[in-house]
Amino acid sequence: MVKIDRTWLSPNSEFPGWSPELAEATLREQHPHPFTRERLLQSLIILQLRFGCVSTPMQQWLSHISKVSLADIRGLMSFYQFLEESSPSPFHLRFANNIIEQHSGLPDLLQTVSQKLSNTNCRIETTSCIGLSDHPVSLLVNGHPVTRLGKHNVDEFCRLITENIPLHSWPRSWFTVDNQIQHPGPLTSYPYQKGNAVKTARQMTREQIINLIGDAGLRGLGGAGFPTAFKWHWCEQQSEQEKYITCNADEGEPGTFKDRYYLTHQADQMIEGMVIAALAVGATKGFIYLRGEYLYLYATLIQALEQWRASGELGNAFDIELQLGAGAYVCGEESAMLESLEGKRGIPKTKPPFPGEKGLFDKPTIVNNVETFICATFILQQGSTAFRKQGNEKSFGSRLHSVSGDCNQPGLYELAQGVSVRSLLKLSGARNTQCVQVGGPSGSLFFEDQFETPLDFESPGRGGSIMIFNKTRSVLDIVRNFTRFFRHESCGFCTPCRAGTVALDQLLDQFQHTPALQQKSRQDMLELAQLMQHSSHCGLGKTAGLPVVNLLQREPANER
Amino acid sequence: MSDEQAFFLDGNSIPFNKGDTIMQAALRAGNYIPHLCFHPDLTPHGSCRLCIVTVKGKSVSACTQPAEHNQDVQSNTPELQKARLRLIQLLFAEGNHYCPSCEVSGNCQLQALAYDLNMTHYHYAPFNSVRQTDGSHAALFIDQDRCIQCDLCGRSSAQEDGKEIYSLSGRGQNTHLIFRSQSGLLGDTDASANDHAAHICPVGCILPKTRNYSDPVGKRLYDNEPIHRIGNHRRKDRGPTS
Repeated sequence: MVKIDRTWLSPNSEFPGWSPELAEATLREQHPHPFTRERLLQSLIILQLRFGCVSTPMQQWLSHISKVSLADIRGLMSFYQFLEESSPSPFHLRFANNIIEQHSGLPDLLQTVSQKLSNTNCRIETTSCIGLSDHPVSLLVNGHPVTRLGKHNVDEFCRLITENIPLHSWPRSWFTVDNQIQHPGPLTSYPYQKGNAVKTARQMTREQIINLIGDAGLRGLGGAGFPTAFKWHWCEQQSEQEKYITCNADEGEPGTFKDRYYLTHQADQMIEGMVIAALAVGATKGFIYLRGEYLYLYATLIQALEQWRASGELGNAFDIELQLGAGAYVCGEESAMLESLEGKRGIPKTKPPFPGEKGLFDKPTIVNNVETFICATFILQQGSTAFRKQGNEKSFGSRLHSVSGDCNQPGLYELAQGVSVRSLLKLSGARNTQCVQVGGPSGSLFFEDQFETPLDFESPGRGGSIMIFNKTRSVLDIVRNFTRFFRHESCGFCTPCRAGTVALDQLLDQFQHTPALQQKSRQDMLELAQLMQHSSHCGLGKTAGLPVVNLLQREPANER
Repeated sequence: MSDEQAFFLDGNSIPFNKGDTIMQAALRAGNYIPHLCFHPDLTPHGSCRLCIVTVKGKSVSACTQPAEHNQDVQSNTPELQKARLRLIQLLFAEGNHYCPSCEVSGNCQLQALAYDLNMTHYHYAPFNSVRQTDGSHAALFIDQDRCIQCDLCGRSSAQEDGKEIYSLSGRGQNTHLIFRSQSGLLGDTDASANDHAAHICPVGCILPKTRNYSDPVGKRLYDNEPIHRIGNHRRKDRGPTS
């Protein structure tokens, strides 16, 4: 049984000194078997949270007690950005550097903060999107989000750090994460009754559950849009006794933050969806993989799981374990997430075999995203027709779009599949819009003549992350930001992505700054993007060149 | 039944056994598909991507793709050879490769493939990566300037030597080789120059400390024959085809 010690999960700026006894007690408090190879990554993350770092002596101790090589620990430490070897600073600032934050004054703010805090021992870094693009500029301070930092409070912010005021004494309003739904829909407003959907599922056969999901036309909302019933059916058909249900709560696509809402307000529906999936395929164990950036939701989820266990729906035939990520975008790729759940570096696996056949620990595994499980619960409670009647002839249901950037009302919009980009722009009060990045950096950039494109499974981009840019923004800057993002997040496994993302960034620099070579850089970039798309090992590398292609296709009209 | 299974590689019929990948069957039949991270005795990795082939209009790595009966596989097409050339050029730009002075010149698979694919220049600006060397071992020298992150040493050490000495660490551009000892130095592992892993490096990252430059120009492995004809070998262990 997992216990939670909230004192060290809450905003904190003091870390206790490390001792083997305290470390062991901390790890045992969180998990009954903390020293297995599979728990290695989780143990490192917990040590990081408790002591503010995982120093070399701590690594040696863990290596000894877990009987794993120090090289394995070094491999993990160097892969996951949030694991730190050097001794903790009382204030570790990680500014999100997505394009939305760049456009909201991040460069000036960073300069101010760096200057003012140059004489303190505070650590200042940038990181990829932390799921708060609707609250720019936002950052993580010792893992906890400070939102809407700006000219109005940056001086006070720096004063608190300079005077070493502990984090728990900072203004509470700075930590506010606003999850207001700007446009509700059935998924976010139906009268959910906890446990009803599972009760219904228990009266059905496995086949009936899968058929119901299939009748609703549910497709995966994590990006690939694969029909959920196919996935479940395939996993159900496997003869293995041991099967796993995994929930991908590692939404790292820049500009998306829907899971932040779901995990805060509808965690029960997600857990219930996992229980339904377990019934449908015959699984005994589930995992939720929560991105490290959402540490502040960890306690909420643990509590929700505890309540499900208390009600008897979890813990007997099926139980769910919560695991944390540690700052690696690639772990949102399903097979990289499975590797990470096994305690390894998040390198995507070779497919085939697919997870439905050989996934976690080589057992048949369902991987679905948070929203997909929430839809499954909706379908079981409200029926497949209620779900299917939303949407258009090929894409059914509705989904939450995370809207950020140049509009009056950034936030969450639940829309039926098929609503056009233009309608969403109108709803969010966007004016003077130049272009919209749909589906995050790995999606599509739409310009005004493409705003009628529907947001559904059949069109490029599909939705989810919606970043709006007005006519004052430089498309080249947007594309440079996305290209750097991929360079930073490439796992480094395959040549085209590891080296290609670097070469692409260099070529883009040349394109921008060496006019004489512009034509050549252009040709080279298009060719490289195509090479990456065709030869990369996983989706990250395959899509990393798309922003550049989006830019060059609009040339020369939208040059700069 | 299994003996009669075959697929077509650039139009040539290639027999295969159940469970074979395209690469395994093709090499066994004497058909070369360019590769760097594949070795017939080790689990495939699929990371160098040089062995990309086209199957049903999709690009897949031949070393990981299961062969299927009557499947049409394209490998030796101008488009794919061009893609391979670019991948090789990316590897050259990424590492620091000084062929004229390198001990492995003439016996190096990366260099041999570059020649075979008619590489004449880098194409991409060099990344000027800063890489480590390790001279702590009595008989082996490590020069990561030349490492292509193929993990052949890691797999060989684990699967053939039972030692797990070498592994890849870091992320993205910072991916690098590490050694399994408390100090992180190769000299503090139980690595031996007699290990399979010490001889499997397709480039010049893992080098013996003695007997270097022993083959005169003209007598080196790839001096007179291209790699697509003689396969991926190192001079000293010119044995099983890979």
